[in-house]
Amino acid sequence: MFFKFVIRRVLFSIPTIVGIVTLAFLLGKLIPGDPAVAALGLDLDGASTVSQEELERVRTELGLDRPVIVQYMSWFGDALQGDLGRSSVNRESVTALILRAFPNTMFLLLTTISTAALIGISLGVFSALHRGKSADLVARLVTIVGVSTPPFWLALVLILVFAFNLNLFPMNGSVAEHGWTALVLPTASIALQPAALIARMSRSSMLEVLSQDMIRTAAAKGLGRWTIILRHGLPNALSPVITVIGFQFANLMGGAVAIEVLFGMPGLGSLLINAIFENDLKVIQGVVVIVGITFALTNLAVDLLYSVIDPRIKL
Amino acid sequence: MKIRNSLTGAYGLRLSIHDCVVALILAVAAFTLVGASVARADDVCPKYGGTFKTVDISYSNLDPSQVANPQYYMRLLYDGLLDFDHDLNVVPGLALDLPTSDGERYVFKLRDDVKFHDGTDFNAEAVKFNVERLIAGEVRSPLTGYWKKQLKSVEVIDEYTVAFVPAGEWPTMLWDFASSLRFASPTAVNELGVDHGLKGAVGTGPFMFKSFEPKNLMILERNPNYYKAGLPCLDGIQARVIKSGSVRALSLIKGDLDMINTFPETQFPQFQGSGVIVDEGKSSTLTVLAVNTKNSALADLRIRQAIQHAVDGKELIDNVYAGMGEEIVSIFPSWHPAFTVAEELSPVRQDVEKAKALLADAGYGPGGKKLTLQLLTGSGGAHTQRAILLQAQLANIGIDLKVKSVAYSQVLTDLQSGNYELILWQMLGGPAIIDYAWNLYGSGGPNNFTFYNEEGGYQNPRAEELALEIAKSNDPNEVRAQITELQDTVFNDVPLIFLNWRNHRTARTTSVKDLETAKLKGMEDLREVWLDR
Repeated sequence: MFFKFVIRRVLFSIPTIVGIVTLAFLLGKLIPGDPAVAALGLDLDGASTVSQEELERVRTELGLDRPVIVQYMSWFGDALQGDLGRSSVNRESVTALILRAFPNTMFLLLTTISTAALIGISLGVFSALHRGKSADLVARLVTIVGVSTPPFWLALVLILVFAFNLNLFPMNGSVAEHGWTALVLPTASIALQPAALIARMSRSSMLEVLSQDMIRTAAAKGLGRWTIILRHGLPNALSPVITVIGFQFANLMGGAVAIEVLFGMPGLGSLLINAIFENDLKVIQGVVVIVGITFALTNLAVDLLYSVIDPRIKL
Repeated sequence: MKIRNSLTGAYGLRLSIHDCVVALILAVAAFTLVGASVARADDVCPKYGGTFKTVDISYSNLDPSQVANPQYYMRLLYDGLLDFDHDLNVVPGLALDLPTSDGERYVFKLRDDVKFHDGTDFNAEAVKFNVERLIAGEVRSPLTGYWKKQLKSVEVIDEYTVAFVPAGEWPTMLWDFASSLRFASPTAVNELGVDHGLKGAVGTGPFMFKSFEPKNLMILERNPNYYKAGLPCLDGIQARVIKSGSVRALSLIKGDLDMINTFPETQFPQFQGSGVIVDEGKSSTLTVLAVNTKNSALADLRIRQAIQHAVDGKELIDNVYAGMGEEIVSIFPSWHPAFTVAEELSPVRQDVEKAKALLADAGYGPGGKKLTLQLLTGSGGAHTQRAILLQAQLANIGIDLKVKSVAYSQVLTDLQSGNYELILWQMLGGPAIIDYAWNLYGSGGPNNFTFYNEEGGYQNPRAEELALEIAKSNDPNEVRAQITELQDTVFNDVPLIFLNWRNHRTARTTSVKDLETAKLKGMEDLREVWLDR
């Protein structure tokens, strides 16, 4: 039964991924500017010496003179085989560029979502268990501050305090250069918002579960407080929290762009921003495809996790 | 320990193991100290060593055919036949002297003691290989079209003599050779193919490629066999990309960086009292509004003059450049030998009443038509601030300026294709007279994007004639009268709305020595820079 469900969900993902790939191609075509100009490079401050003849030659070289549908079919066919083409700016393989950037983004996202989930669930449960008390009030205040704090601003404050003044962490750079310390400030900058949202969802979900008859029954049976919370309360409260975590993970891919740029982490966000500024069509399309597929796979993973955590969910 | 020989009465040495170890340590220390100061017989640097850390490498590829900011990165890996000094005078580089001409071709005698970083000999064949590679478009370069247009052929005369046959007149030839023709090892290019510049970059320059991640990090190490004996002073260069201006400034103050050469003027207060040295290069870039003189409204001289009288370049200097700029008094920058202050500056000064009168004369303003123009500009930072101020200044005379902010690369694309009405353009020139004359105002001038003196655009045969006369000379004193007349003419014709000159600046820590801020943005020379840490 479960296996059939997995197969069905995976099959349903295929049209989504084809849609993403098609959209990525069309989006690339809608971006203003001539990729041939980008490929030739712009002379400094517009003192360009690029001739029209040169532009035509490079347009042909890049296949931009072919009908759009031909370009699409060719690109789609190559993409299916894992070949996302070469950067029109420096001719580096897009797949290689993405493979180099992807781990940095994944390191950041995984540490961020793990931190956010850990803090968020703990805070939510704590708040629910102290409902109406001053501890609950403080916890809720913390979540409000968390939701309202812009990550970019927080990142600058963290850099100023922990990197510049206290010299505890690097100001910028990748994991390859500085090890795990490179992740601390970027993670702290973007984990606060999802942590706050997860905490709010955990609190309300936990409160709902704690008010159910089964909890009263468990208490009447004489089970310990923490046994009731951890064995009966929390697992039942987790389903909506997982939805939020899944959504936040996907959401973080967007938020990570600014943080990667700010902390000089060479991830997918930095790659995309550079490609957009340079009108590097193939790289833009490649990154959009990868981010889209990651998004689709995250949704798939969340759906599958539901059925594992709560077997009542209809397969 | 010194002991006396009981038989001879002479003093001799009897050493314990402890004494030997101490002596060995002292000897090593002494050798190291002495060695450090005399290791380089041809010392030219007060101190050697250290990695110079900087930012803003905007190169996607380190092949010598590439052009990007800052320009000095290319001079670290590669050399040209000609080089230039701090005053932008062209001097010999890999050539023994400036070229000689037999009327048809320019002949360069090459140094015979230069090798590429991979050991390949630098010779005439290597020169020919690189030039032909550039012209054939084997690398995607903005320089290809230009060199193809200017150069007919390159000939190897002997192993260390090469001749260039120009396709026609080439007034900026020396500067073009010094600034944009550099050489990669033919062996490395053949081995690496399209990956030359990505996985390796082999030149003859003062530093050698160690690693490169485009738009992220470049690490270079000292070339111990650099042809200029005793240079460079540094052990290496590390350039990374830090996009955030605040983080860049903090990194410099903290000492994580040694120098930054691109930062908004608004950051100056951050550096005050921090020990960072901020240095200015005067009038590095010309800020103008390029005017499409093919546009029906802008073809009218009165409207262009009205716009020129409506704007106040000084207000932009004070509010956007924190005072780090110069007002327009000449079509040349103040450091240029051709710089000549115009006798009459009123055509390029703000005069709102005159602007309104000119506009009314052209049928616009109160009681007439409403004039709406579109200004294309880059997005963010100074681009946006300047556009907002200009919008307000033009509103004073009743012109509705619609500002469209796009990526600066798009601005340049539209500028070149003529797909615009007004464009806010910051132009980086060069040391040649032609850069500020023919190139901007002559028909067919490579940077004449306003269609001035071109078919369909605003024509002034006298300006064309003057630009052509000036283009034939490299000596400003020979053509001073023509320069004076040309600048009066263009100030009156207003193919460009002249705003101001923006100063280039660098900020560095006190440990950086012998670094001079260049006259042109990004042209700093790091070969003689040393670190006093």
